[in-house]
Amino acid sequence: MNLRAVAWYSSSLLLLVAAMMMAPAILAAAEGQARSMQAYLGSAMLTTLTAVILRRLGRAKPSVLHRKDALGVVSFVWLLLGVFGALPFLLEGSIPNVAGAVFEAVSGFTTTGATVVADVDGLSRATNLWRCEMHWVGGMGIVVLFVAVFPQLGVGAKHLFKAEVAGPITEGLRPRIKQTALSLWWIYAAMTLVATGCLILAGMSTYDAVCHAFSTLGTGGFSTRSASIGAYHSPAIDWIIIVFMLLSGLNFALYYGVLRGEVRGLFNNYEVRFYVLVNVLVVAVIFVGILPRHGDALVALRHSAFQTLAVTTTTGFMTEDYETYPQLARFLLFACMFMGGCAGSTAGGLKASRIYALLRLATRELRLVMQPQEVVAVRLGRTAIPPGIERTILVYGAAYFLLFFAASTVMVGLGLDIMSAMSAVVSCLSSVGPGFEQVGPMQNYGFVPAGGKLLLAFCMIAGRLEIFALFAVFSPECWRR
Amino acid sequence: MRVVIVGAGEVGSHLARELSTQRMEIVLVDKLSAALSSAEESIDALTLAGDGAHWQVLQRAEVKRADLVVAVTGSDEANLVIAALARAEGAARCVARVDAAGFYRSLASVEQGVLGIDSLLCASRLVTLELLRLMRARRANFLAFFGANHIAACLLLLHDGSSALGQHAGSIRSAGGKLVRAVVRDGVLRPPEDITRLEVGDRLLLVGGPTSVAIAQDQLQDTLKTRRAILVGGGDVGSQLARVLTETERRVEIIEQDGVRCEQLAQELPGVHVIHGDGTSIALLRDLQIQNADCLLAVTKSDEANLMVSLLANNLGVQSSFAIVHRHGYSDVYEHLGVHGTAGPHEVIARAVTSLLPNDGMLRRERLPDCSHELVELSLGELTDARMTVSDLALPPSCMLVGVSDGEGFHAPAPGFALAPHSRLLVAEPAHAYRDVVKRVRELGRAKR
Repeated sequence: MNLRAVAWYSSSLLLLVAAMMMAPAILAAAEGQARSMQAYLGSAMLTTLTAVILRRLGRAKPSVLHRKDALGVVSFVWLLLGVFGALPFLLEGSIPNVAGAVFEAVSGFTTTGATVVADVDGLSRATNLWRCEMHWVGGMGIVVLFVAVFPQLGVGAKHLFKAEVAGPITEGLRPRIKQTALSLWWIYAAMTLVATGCLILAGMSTYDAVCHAFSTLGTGGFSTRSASIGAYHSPAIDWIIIVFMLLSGLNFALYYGVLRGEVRGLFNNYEVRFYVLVNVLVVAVIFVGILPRHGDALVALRHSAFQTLAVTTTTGFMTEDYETYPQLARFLLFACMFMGGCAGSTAGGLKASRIYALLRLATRELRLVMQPQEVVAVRLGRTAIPPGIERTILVYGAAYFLLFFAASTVMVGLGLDIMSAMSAVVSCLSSVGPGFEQVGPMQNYGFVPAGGKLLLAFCMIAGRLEIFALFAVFSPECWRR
Repeated sequence: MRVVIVGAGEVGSHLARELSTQRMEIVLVDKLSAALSSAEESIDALTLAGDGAHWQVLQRAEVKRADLVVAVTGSDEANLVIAALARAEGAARCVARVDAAGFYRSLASVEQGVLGIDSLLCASRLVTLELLRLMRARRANFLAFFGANHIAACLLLLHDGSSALGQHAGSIRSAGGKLVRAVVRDGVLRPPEDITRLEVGDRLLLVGGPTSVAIAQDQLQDTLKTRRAILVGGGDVGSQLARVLTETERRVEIIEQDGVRCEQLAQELPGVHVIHGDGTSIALLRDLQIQNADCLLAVTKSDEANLMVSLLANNLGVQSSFAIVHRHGYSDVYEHLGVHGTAGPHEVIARAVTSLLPNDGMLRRERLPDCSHELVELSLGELTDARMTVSDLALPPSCMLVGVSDGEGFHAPAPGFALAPHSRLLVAEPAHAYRDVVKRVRELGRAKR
């Protein structure tokens, strides 16, 4: 790994972060909140300063960005995002401790939506915008944005893109990776705009609508209200968010296809079908469970669909506390946290296509037990998985669970009860946000010890970068010259 | 611009790499996903696994939206089918690599309009011409090929004892006719009529077909049929090179390992000495007394053998050695090790394809060393007026038209010569007139449309 290249590219990415900080700063200035404005301007200046220093360190970078360097850039930048995203919280004083602020920032950029803030309503408007803006940029990916915006990175752009947009099979939409990144961002931005418009029409204030659209499209989960979407008591808003959560949980490559007239691709896709099927089953179980409580079928449907999608798309909004649901419903939601959304979406988790592939691999194993000589290809939809991809899916699944158990052990050791620890870890790995028991939707992560917060923040980044991209940087092989 | 390249071998991936750095959109198609994944590492292109000779694969690659489809798989027939299919699908331009020299009607390495395919490229002939150019360029001040290798332009320094000294520049004739288009004296390019007496230090600008320029070059330097060239490898390139070299060299020898091929070469190539043996064997090379050879060209299929032979030749005292390089990135190593020049199918095809890309009239611009003028190659485009002649061009006064080529070959720029559509013009112009020349040629195209 070439450290100069890492420094140079990271500095450009930090400049993007500094530019992002200007939005809350301008909002605070317009509303005359001097303290918030100073905090955001100060953070932007510190970020820019660091970027300038990094650029200076990386000025003699090699002309070509190799795969190793790209992995280094992406991992390093995601670790930096936590630090620089936390600056405003610390300078403004909204989150006074460092671990909490880093946790909140990482939770923002990884679109987890887990918070350490008990009283979200008490945060300044600038800070709430910043939290949702982090979701939005982190959702499609800051490196993808960088690839889309910066001119001519050559083949390095491809390595950068692939390091951030991991997935079982990453396919380009267009010949040049820069165009792919640009198309994805355009689709994403257009959908955000539509979501904002719908929310305003449904009666939200413009500020709340923008924040919630950012949060929904990025499948984040930060809200400007402590009671999340439930605070609005509006069926229209609930349904709009349900639709956009679902849309954000699907593969964005399919929308590109739709724009080019391949509408059927959206419905024929095996992953979409599987994902929708799982959601329908879970919604049905929860619906039956909560129907007696609400009495009205439509209300029960709305709440069951909202809570289910909030978990399966890894958004983490809520309209009511799922901790009060029947045990089966709670367990299903917990299980869904592992799956997450579709590959190529802004959602986290193992991804529906991997779960589906694991199921197909398991059924193939059944056939092989009976007929060991048979050669069976595993099909996802119409195409068979190449043998190499088969391996990576299995290994990724195993690594995910290993990390889950290891981190859960540490969290239990830090004093959380078993269910809280496990749900906190899977919730962070899959970027959902709320968990169960002590970290349930009505609680927050404020009580977790500092070490636990940093571990969970690390899990969020590991989950966002799909584990190997992050861990590769810690292997000695990456540092060998 | 969108370019679909079928075949991700050395040629296809090199072409993709070159074009992707020019901000083009590349789709790379190959049967083998292994070839694609290694190409993916270094090229910003979309890859697609599948047989390019199938409709479905071409449809998936969206050739109908492509500005150029290049078929460069290992099989001539497959390439022809791919290019013809792509044409039928609606690709704007199609190019196919067809290596069998016998497929071509003319001696040009590029053939146009066969089976609805815009251009066929012959890699072996392109390599042959490039090696020939490198060989001849060592004996000239400047040598470049233009007009799809139909035009050679050569700048020749007159030494003591040249038969041309003292003559009127406009009166010099050689095998190909009058080839002296201009004379460079004291760094200034002048028409040959202005120079009544050639002196030592004058440089002649010779423009004509590649072979006639080579002969003229030797005649003017009094070196025609004085040298000995040795070729190692009797493949397509070897046999074509031998055929061309017999016209200028005193003795041409081919060393070929395959006995049957030797028989065939001996029948095909009168006047060439065919030697059956291993060209990498130092005993054989010594036996042939290759230290007396002026030039050795290693043109076997194996890069390792070519490198070994060239180095042996250098070591044994051959004046200059040249080699084919099949794999991308090796040529620098060869030149570092002392091989005087290399040519590879990937390089020549990439260059040929680049020249086939839609252009705005300007194809190539070459500086002449220590000279007031430079050479510009321009394409005329569509001409609806079939009677247009060279004198209608009306180029800026300081410029000089030195050569014209069309699908048939090189033509001398006589004032009454009728220009064909898509002809290529070679113009010598002072650098400051460049914009005017390009503008003028573009105007001609626009006015006729």
